[in-house]
Amino acid sequence: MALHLQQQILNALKTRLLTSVTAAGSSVFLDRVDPLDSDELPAIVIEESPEGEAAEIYTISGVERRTYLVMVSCVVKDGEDAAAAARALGLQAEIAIATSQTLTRLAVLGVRLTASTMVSSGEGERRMAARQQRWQFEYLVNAQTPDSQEFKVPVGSDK
Amino acid sequence: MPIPAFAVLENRANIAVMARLSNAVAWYTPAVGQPKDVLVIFDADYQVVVDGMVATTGPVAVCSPLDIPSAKNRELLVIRGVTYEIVETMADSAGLTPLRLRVKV
Repeated sequence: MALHLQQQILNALKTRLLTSVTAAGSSVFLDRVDPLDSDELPAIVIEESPEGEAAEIYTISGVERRTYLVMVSCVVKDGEDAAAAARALGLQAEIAIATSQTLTRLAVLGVRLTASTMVSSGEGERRMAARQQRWQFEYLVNAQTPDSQEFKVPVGSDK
Repeated sequence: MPIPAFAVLENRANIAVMARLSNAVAWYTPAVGQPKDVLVIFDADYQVVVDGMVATTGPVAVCSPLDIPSAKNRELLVIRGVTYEIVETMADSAGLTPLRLRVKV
């Protein structure tokens, strides 16, 4: 079954973060519904950003430019250095995503980080933290075939 | 007969509270002094933290200041086989001492 480019991007993102060397290891989750257990941390959670995807006309022949926003949250365990650990995991995720040829191939107009923030919970010395990154993926599709990239670029795939 | 001072009454009440309502025995290891067993009211309530992403507990052990006169951060309590360290001492207005805990890694 053909997958919308949105899903292709999310799947490629998850694969990239699973196969890259990060402190999260195999704790990479896509569209996670249930809260994480503390023994699953550190973890990376991928989900569509609340802003979703924007579409605009790109050519008169029906090609659209899509801007897809995805949240990547790097969550770490309770501890005094939780914030620093969250930033460190965020750095690993950032490098993995920015250097992915597969994602570059899927988002032909570019992959870039648009914002990142720290979310902390707890008071005093009890701290749990997540580095939340908002990534932007821009691609071109024909409105009638949103599962297929328009104007493919000759780049390889992630090894 | 003179009326006992409030502090005396409060102590009596809290001794009865701890005797009746404590639900665990904690092995308390102070920074200075000998470890000992202490009655506590232990509550590990469910919490969802970090923007609703992570489920965890926020363990609190309530003890009597007669048992632990001056709890300090980083001191250890072993409750039901789990070792916790004290992260905050929150003296309350009823004469008992809630201790906020974190599982010791």
